Amino acid sequence: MIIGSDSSNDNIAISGSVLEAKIPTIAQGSSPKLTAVCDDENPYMFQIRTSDATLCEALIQYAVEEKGLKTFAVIHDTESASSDQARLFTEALAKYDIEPTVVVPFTTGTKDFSSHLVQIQNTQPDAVIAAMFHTEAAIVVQQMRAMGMEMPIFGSNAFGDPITIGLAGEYMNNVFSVTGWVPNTPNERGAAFSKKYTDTYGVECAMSAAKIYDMVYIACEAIERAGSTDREAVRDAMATIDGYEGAITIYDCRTNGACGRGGLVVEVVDKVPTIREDVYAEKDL
Amino acid sequence: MNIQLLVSGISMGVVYGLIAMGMVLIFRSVGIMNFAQGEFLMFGGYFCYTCNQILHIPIIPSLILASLMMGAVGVLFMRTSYWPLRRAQTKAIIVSAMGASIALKEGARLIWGAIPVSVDKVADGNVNLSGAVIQWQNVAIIGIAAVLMVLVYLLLEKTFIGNIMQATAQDQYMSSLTGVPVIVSIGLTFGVSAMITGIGGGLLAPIFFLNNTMGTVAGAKAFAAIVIGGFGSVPGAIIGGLIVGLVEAFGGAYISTTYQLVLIYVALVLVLMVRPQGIFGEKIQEKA
Repeated sequence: MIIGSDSSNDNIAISGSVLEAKIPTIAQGSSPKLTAVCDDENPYMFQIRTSDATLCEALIQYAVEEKGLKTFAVIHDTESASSDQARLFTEALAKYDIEPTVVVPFTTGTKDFSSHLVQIQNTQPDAVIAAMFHTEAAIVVQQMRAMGMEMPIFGSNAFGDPITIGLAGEYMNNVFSVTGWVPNTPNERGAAFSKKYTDTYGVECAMSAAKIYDMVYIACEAIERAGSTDREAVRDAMATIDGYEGAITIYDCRTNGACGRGGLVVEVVDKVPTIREDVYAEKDL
Repeated sequence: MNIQLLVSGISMGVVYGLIAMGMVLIFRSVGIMNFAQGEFLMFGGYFCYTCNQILHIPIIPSLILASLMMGAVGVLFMRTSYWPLRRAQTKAIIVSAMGASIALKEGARLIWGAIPVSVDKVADGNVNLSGAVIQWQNVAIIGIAAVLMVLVYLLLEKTFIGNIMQATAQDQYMSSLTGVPVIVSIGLTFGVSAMITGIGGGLLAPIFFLNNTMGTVAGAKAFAAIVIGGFGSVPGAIIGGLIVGLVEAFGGAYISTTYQLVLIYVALVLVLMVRPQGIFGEKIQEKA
């Protein structure tokens, strides 16, 4: 069995090789494109994470229905996963007949966001939607607050991650994120793992570690159900996994894509990601 | 909006100018563009992180210590990446520098890991300038960069060591004939270059955070600054850096945020079309 890269693009790239070699592979990415590959093209690849389609819609629903916000600007990295998330956020807004006041893309590695943020500032949105990775997320939050832009930020999973919170620190108040994992998760298994991780390594458990934990245990579950490590048997056993309670969420692998079914809407309060809403979606078979 | 962009452009431009100045020092010394200069920025930042966050040394002494460590790295870089190839073709030395750049990047990841980190700020908070907001850290960067630029000028123009470095830069062979220890002079140049760039890394770390790839794009922009300002010109490197910073800020806001680096290189091409030697470069003509 292979546990694949964290990047949806990497997993899509190796899909052909996986299919040819017929090795059951766990793909860590969350992109809907990867969901389609797993569901329609490659019976050996399983997307374990909750799809961005589910999570992005949940965050927008929270922003519009719970927080009553009406206008949004969007800022996103141009790399594939973040662009996909920005598209999903925009599509979710469209369901409420809301169009972004401005959409501002940037290339990965951008450090100075003044040009981007003044464009957002000019449109005076109620909130900012952001899709990017940890370093850029922390920089954007810091620079926004430094420029006096105190509006709420609704961000992809990087915004609820301990890495981003550790970097941006006190600037992270009024930042919301939709994520599969927070170190202070109410999930019993997750909480036990998080505590053990912190006790062992002295730092908070980030999502990357929790993901791997669940993926390894799901792989073990499949091997146990198969009763062997035969690739075909393990692949078939993976497809019987339904209702498996992991550290992050509940998993349903009866179809290959989007096995993870849940997530969390969190608000960062004094550097602690505080859960505001549980997200769960049954698989539509 | 324009004032904010102006302030941000100048702030970033000073950083690019600092890196470009380090590259110019090496270019003037050995005639080779150092494509690992961005990695000096990154490594200097990580040394500062080690002193400040791991050894819990206050930020100013950490910057100084990181700078001294980078001086040693610069000398080591010279001895391993340049000196063995000094009589080889130019392209061999350039490839060596590129290889060193990769080694520094991956070495940083092995030593400090892949997770981005930060250091303490020299100055906290923000200042309001006619509606534009600038972080005090950015003000500190501009101030310290200005001091470094003056110090480099004084070193090169007013000290005996600086004269030696300039003599070696002008003609290594003749300098050696007059008793100048060329290897020491070149080592000093690399060391000083690495020191000033390394301080930049430590100053940028609290606002841009450190990861092992942070030097790559900065190095590319600094190269553009050198070409715009004029190869071999220290004032040109500084002015070129400011131009790059302003093109990045205003071009991003008014033309495209996605293609900021493209806009910088378009500006570079335009300058070359009008003034091929760069703004402060010397025109070199060959007789037919």
